[in-house]
This record gives sequence, C-alpha cells and structure tokens, in this order.
Amino acid sequence: MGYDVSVPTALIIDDYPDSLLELSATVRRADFSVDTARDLETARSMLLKGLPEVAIMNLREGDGDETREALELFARNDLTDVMEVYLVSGKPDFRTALRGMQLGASDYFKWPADTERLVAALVELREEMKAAAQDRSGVHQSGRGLLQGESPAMKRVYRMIRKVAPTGATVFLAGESGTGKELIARSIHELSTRKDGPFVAMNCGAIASELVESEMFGHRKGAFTGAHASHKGFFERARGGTLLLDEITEMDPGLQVKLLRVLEHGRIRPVGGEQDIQTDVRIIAATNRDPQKAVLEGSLREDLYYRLAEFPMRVPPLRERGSDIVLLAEEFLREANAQRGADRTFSAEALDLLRLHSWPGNVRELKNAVSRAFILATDEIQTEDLPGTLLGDGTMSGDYLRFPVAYNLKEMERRMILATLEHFEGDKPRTAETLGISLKTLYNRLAEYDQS
Amino acid sequence: MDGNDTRFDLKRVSNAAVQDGSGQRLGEISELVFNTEYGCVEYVRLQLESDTDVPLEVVIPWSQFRLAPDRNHLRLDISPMVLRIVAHRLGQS
Repeated sequence: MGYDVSVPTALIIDDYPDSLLELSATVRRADFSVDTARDLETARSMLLKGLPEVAIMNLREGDGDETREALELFARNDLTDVMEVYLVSGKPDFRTALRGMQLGASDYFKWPADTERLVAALVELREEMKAAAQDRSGVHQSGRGLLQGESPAMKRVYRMIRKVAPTGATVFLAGESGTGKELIARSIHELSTRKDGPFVAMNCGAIASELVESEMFGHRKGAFTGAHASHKGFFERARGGTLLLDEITEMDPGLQVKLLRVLEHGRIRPVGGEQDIQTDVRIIAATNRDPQKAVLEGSLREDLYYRLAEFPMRVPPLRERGSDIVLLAEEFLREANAQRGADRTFSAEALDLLRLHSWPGNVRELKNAVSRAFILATDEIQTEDLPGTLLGDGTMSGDYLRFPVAYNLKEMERRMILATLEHFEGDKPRTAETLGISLKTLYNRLAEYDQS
Repeated sequence: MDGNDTRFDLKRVSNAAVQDGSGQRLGEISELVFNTEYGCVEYVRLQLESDTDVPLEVVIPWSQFRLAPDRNHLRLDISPMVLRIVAHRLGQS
C-alpha cells in the first residue's frame, strides 16, 4: 500500500464476506486496488504497514462499540487528515453518521442504494490525486497549492487547504517563523473561487501604529496633515480577493476592536471618509505565537480570535517534517544550481547533518544554510560548508517535559496528560485533541489519577 | 517519526534499540522530550554505542526515526560517523 497515483488503494473493513465481496467489486470499478480486513485488529495492522488512499468501513447495526472504536482508531491517529474515510451502512443511523463525520469521516453511503455515488466519489478522489502529481511548479489542485513536501505532517496541511479553500471561511494560521504561513495563505487563495482577485498581505507588526488604521482602511484626501490624496487601504486593495493579516497578535488592541467590527458588519470607513464601503475580502490571519497564550496575555482579543479562527490551522515546524528536510534542501540546491549554471551536490554526511538539526528558523533557515553552503563549496557540499550552528546543536526552545526512558510508563503518561491539560488551562477537549486521544480516554485517565 | 507516529504512543519507544538502515546498532534512546503545546514527543536523546566510559549523546528530532518493519526497533538512517561528530561537539559545548 502507499501513495501511488497510478493505482490508488482502498482498504475495506467489513466482517461479512458477502458484502465485502460486493464492496470490493464496486471499488475496483473506480480503478482502485483493494485491500480487505475482516476485523479492526487486521485493519490496524494493515494501516501500520502503509496508508491506503481511502478506507471504507461497513457499519453494522447493533455494533455501536466496535464502530465507535473503529472511528476513534482513525481519529486518534489523525488518519482522517491524510486519507479519506468513507462509511457505508445497510441500515443508516443518523447518530453514527454524525459521530463519524465529527471524527473526520468524509462521507456516508447507504448500501446498496448509494453504490453509484460511492463509485463517483472514488473517481473524483482519484482525479484529485492525479492533479497532485502534476508539475511541481504549478498550483496543485489537490491542496498542495504552492507548497512542497511529502511528509505526513504536510499531507495533513494539504488536505486542510483542499477542504477549506473553496469555503470562504476565515482561516487562522499559527506556526513558527519561517514555516511558510504566507505560502499556505497564497495556496488557499489560489485554490479558492477568489483566485482571479488580488492576494494582499499586510504585516500588522511592521506598520507604525499611527499609520495602521489608514493603511488598513484607507483615507480620504485631507483626512489628516499630509493626506494630499485619497489612499486605498488593504481592505480595498484586496477587494474580490484575499487579505492576509500577518502577525495579527502585534496589532494595536484599539484597532483589533475596529477590525472585529469590520468583520462582523462587512463594512469599512476610510479615515476622514463620511460613508461606509462594503468589503468583499476573505480574511486569513497568521501568527508565530501560540494564539491561546496571546489571548491570555492580552495581545489578541479573545472575541477577535474566535471570529478569525473559523478554521484554525497549525503549520508544522520543519523539525516535524522528517524527510522533507532533505527534499527541500535538494530543491533549494537545484534552484541555486540553475541560477548559477552550477552542478553542486550534497555529500551524504552533509545531508545527515541537515537532518539532525532542529531548525528553529524553519524553512527560511534551511534555505539560507543551503545558499551559504553553495557559495562555500567548490563541488560537493561537505559538512564544513554548512553553518557551525548545525554541528552540536542541542538547544531546544519551547515548553518541554523530559523523561528518561527508564521512567515508569504509566507515570510518564500521567505527567504528559497533566502537563498538556495545564498548558491548555484545563480545556479537556483541546487537551484530548492535542494528545491524539479520545475525550473518553482522557476522562478515564483523569478519574484514575484522582483515585490514586 | 513522521506525522502520525509523533503522537502519543510511548510503548513503541521504551526499551527500543536504534539501528541504521544496514541493521547496525547505533545506540538506544535515553530521554524523550515532550512538547506540551503540541502534545507530542518532539525530540529524543540518543545514547550512542561507545567503546569508552564517556557517554556519547545526541539530541535528534523525533521525525527522523522510523519504526522498523519488525516493530522491535527504531531505525535512523544517519551515519554513525556524523552522529559521533555531533555528539562530540555537544559534549564539548
């Protein structure tokens, strides 16, 4: 199994041989290869070997616990972020369908009434995957947009982009500096119905506080000393398109109130203007800070955060992107070679060193490191051509718990759960989601800890 | 480990030896570093195989590890030489 565009794979989970055969035949009609599992344990073991493009689960009436367990298997491991999960049932049950959708299932089919709709959904999925395999330099309709990387962390990002881009929902991007938040915003724009309109990025932290309002909403001639002509603000310049409000947590609190009002009423009034102007922009906000912390510290209004975060997205740091480090380094080197007419390569040791680094500056830092190495190297890039910080980089910034592996496993789990709960100020749903466990498991664990 | 495996699954890590792609034993994990904001193991400290009494350790992003197909050990495709160079530098700093 695996990501093979030419022959995508479907894993069918069904304990009835007859319907398993019928489902398999249906799925093959959409040119998918088929793997089957008669029980959850087999499914779990097959998922560990490799991810199919879609899992199709036939739900039975009266096996609520197993269905729930199966759905939680997908949700717990974030599988619904990197693959499609379709639910099929001969006796549709609204509550199960709803629960399935909440846990990330993409669709629910009545069996056999929806056979043709299932085939159509699979064909559409296959077409989306073909689009993902197109020329890397283009904007990929699969949700990849303008981004690069094949790691599961990035595949989750692509999937979220693909889902949210056409909706028009306001997106809140949170990720460290250099992770590519603006590229993600651009990708969302390019894959939305507003793609023919402008994409405008405003860095809220880079504009002098006395100018921010005028820059954002524009001003009319004579509005203030020096306003010799009318000026269109970011909202007007982004009309019909997308406005990225970068570093939103750096915005003046007073202006945050005005922004909230604009978002709620859909109108702006330029400084010195007498009439409101109807806005027509999609907003994407971004920050390199933890938004929850920013709210607690007062640098981001809570009401504005919830208005902006209709669709919150976490952008993974480079250190979580595994094989993408080498993939991106090779790509940056290829670009440098093309620009300078050179043919440099990385030594195996240099690539190893890149993979060991924690990349606090993320993709931007990696790009700079490759540029520097390109200049210093004569032919093959060696470890000594890379920045000295890569050798012996043991620094870790962030809120960390450290556990020697000799630590008792139960105690380690207890401390991780309690520390995460504390981090999210007692917010149990968020804690469970972040840890990748079900809310029920979290409650069970907390009850155990209370008793001990 | 990539993506899904960075999540909350401690059993895979404890007592797991680390080998490279050729099956050579590189060492064993001596410490897990857990990020409370993201709810996942973000780094591990790898104690390298050493002929001397001086422990050689290196901190590595968890995303670089793979679970070997036999599921009994972790795989890290980084040369022992580079690991030792970095560990020596870490020891000096």
